[in-house]
Amino acid sequence: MSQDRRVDSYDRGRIEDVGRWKDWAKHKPGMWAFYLHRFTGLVLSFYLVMHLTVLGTGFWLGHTEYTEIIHGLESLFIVKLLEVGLFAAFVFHALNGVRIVMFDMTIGLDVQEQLFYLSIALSFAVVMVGVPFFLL
Amino acid sequence: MATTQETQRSEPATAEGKAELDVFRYIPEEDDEPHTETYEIETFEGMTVLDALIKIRDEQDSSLTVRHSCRMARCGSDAVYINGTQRLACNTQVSELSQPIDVEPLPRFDVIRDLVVEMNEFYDRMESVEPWFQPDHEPETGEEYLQSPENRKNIDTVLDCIWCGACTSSCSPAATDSDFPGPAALAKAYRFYKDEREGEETRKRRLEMLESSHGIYRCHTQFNCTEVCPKGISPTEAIMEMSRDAVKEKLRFWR
Amino acid sequence: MSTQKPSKTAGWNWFLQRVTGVGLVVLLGFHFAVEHFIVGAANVTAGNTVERITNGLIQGDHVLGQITINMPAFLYQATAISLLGFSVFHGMYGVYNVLMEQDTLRAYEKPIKYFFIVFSAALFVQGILIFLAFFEPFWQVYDPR
Repeated sequence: MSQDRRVDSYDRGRIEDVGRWKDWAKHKPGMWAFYLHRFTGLVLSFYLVMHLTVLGTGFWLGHTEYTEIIHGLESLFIVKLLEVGLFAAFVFHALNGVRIVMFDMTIGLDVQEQLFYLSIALSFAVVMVGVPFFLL
Repeated sequence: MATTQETQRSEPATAEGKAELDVFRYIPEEDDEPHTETYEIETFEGMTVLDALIKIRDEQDSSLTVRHSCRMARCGSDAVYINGTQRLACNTQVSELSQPIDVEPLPRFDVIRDLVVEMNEFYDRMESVEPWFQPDHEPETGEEYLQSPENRKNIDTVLDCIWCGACTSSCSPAATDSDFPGPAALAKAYRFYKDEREGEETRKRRLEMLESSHGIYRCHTQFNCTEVCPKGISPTEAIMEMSRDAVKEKLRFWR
Repeated sequence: MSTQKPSKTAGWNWFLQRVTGVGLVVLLGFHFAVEHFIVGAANVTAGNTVERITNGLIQGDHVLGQITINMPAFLYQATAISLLGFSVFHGMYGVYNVLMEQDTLRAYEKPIKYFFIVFSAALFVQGILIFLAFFEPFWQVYDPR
């Protein structure tokens, strides 16, 4: 509809649409919360698919093989480290998710920045508590 | 008072009374690609970015194009992207900005020339929510459409919208999803949704009209629109209230 | 700008996304607590997994020391199944919406939608098959030894 009315204009391309990364330092907390929420959400969804696939094949191979697969993975330090990352992604996504559900009930919209900082601080604290459980 | 203003303006500019502006330039007849041009100007106290741009146009480069009209944050025609934020050029003090001041047309709108962007897409979005008064019934003969002061209070802030497009430019779902009306249009929808004079039927119809995953449910509470609104409107709050009401309406069957 | 297409399901899906989200905070939190905090990922074996699923017996000797929790079996199984269902819905509906937000992908809205429905169903079935494989009559199908 607007297409026919559009005069000779310069289309600045898709990069304008996705985000102004050039000005990332100018992004406000609400936008960072969105970026982090989306990133952790995609990470968790990807992990969900991998989790079900690996677990499934592991179990269908038999009990001994299942145990071996788990122990083989857990003996790698990088796997443990990635699990800490996964835990961090879950904790932030959960806490920021609670923040979003609060907004949906129109609670705390005035203190959204503080709530974002709170969710970051709480995530950090919970993940720090969790680190020994994952790495030991 | 006018005299003090005059004396301050006529005072010779000191070293700190200078400002450097990096302005986005694009003239379709001449340029293939946009480029940035740097201008140095002398400032005066109370100078806004719009004043600076007009000064550049008057004194240095008459081809510089910027859309402006009232110069007092009422008409909403001079929303531009200043130092990484959507603002009204007439409502932004040069002295408050870090230099060089980066001035670009509103992101995510097509550029017609220099700082002038194509706004029709934005107006289409505004129209899509039917931003006009649609009462269920006419008032009894001789009466006006009276609104109670309490009801009017609900829409005090959203009524201030000047259609400048700053919020819609800042909103990433509005940029990637052309069916999403965007913050300004949804705040406008809220203005009529909250108006009790329209009656229950229209209120329900308005809510149903917006109920889509490309409607009110597309909001990601980025709060960008709330941050950039030159009028202090919070479209996020309006959208959240409408989506909350819409879901409440759905859950009513077991109430 | 096309006209708004009102949808009857969008509101429900949006609401379910919130409900499953809040549910997952609890369920996934529980899952992490059991697998990583009580048992410890490195100590997970087929044997103790079967104990948890079939008897609701959570036993671990990790950083916190010896811990034994005996939940009613049906309760543990309920958390497992709802964790599966909630996470598949929440995750897949989330990714689907990330894609549908892009105008360029809207041309393929139908195929993408059906792909996600089929894929989510497949994931759920996969999860159910894993769940069933913990019970004796089924695990013998996979593991005749």
